[in-house]
Amino acid sequence: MYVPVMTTCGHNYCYDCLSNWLVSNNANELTCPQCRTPLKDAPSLNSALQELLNTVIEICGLNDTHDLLRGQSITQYKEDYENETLFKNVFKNTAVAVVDDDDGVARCSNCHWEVEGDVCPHCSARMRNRSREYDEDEDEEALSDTSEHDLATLRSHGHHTLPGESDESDSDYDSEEPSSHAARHRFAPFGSARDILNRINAQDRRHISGDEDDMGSDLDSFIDDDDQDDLHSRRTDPNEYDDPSSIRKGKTTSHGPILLSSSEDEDESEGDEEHIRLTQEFENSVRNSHPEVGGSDDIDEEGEEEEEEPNSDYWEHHDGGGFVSGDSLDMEDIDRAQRKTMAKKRRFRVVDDTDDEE
Amino acid sequence: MASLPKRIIKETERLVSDPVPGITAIPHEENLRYFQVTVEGPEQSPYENGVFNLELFLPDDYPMEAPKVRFLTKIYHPNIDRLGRICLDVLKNNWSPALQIRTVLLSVQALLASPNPNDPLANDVAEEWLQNEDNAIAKAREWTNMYASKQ
Repeated sequence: MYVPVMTTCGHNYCYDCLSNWLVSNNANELTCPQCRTPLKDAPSLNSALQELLNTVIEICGLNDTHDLLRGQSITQYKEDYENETLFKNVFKNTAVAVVDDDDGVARCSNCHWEVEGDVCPHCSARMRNRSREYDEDEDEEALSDTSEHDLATLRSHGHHTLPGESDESDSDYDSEEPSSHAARHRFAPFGSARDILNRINAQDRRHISGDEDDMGSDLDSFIDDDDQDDLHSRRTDPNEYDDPSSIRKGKTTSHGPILLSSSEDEDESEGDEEHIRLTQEFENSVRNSHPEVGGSDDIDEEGEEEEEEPNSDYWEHHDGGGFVSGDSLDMEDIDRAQRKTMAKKRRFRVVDDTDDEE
Repeated sequence: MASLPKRIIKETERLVSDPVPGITAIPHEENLRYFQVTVEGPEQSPYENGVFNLELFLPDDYPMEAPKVRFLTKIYHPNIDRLGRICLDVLKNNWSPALQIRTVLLSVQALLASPNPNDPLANDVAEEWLQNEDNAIAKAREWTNMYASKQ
């Protein structure tokens, strides 16, 4: 430790290490590693401790490597201090990823640029609420599904928070403290779609799969389960399934009436149909709101409007049925599933342009 | 391996020289980020007298990222699924670089002592735990004898 900094809660860390932690920590709040106190203000140099360390170093001596490292650490700190970029700007230049109501794309609340990863590619603001998990492959699915839940929930309450959110987040975000974002998010029921999404996602993950692994491996474990009936003495009573869903129901009341009603009387394996139903609602609302939103929305989405029709046709004819697991669905469901697929593909186009093979 | 952080070396040394009672963690010869772990079931718990094998892996970003821990021994526990994955806050959201391998393993041991069926990972186990706790505990004990008994 060559550049000791002290947090507001009184714990001392090496400047480099603490910066790394604050940058890599993807929770909604910056916290002290030792006591988890939320950090509102940037930690400051503990010069008393540094003097002490210098004395110790003078007495003990350092080998060349460490001397070099020490020099680097101190220079780095000085540079950051002079450029006012201490702690990689996590205490200043932060924004919130807001999911656009219109296309399901996460955007930076500072500049409305599409966000991929933890940092806005346009204004290089750090996303305070963007979970790293979204960058993994399986999360195309998670992103799409949960944003549907999310939007359905928002709609069911008659809220149109998202446009408002992005409006208010125009310019004054720069000056706001990150903690105030976090605070608003915790207390406002519909603070940010992404935040809700994260919360729902966290709950889903905890209660359904409980890990960052996707549903697939979770289902694998269920399959596994059947293979080892003797070991687990699993009951085959269909009612058995009601309980996990009721547990979920209890835990997820914040999801709103739509989620609740649709999860009733359904077992885990019918989760697909639940999604489909939600998707349909989502689809309908997208269709209803699209002209109006599209008109007032001046975020640049080059060519998206023009390509939309041929695109959805394309998916309807080429890939729509591929998503349906035929046996359990009647025609209406297939229709829904196709629309679901269309909705997904359309949104993925914008989220991940590169993934689309047209 | 050439650039194994000092912190990992120190932690490993301490794990060997001053092991936590009831817990062993031995680094793999070829990959010093991979540990073979045994955890004894806590006394007064259904896992008493059991010795559970786990694996622990330190990702590249450790200690900024939590270690990956998984049960290798089968265990009947509401927060551990049949792939051995563990539902434990400090391994996920509540990770902090101030935690260490030893503290994580202690947390895992504590999880064995206090299963939390209200925040389940293995839904069927949790259900059983909530509905018929005696039965579930008996089963956990049975599994411990079957799969985790000391040789």
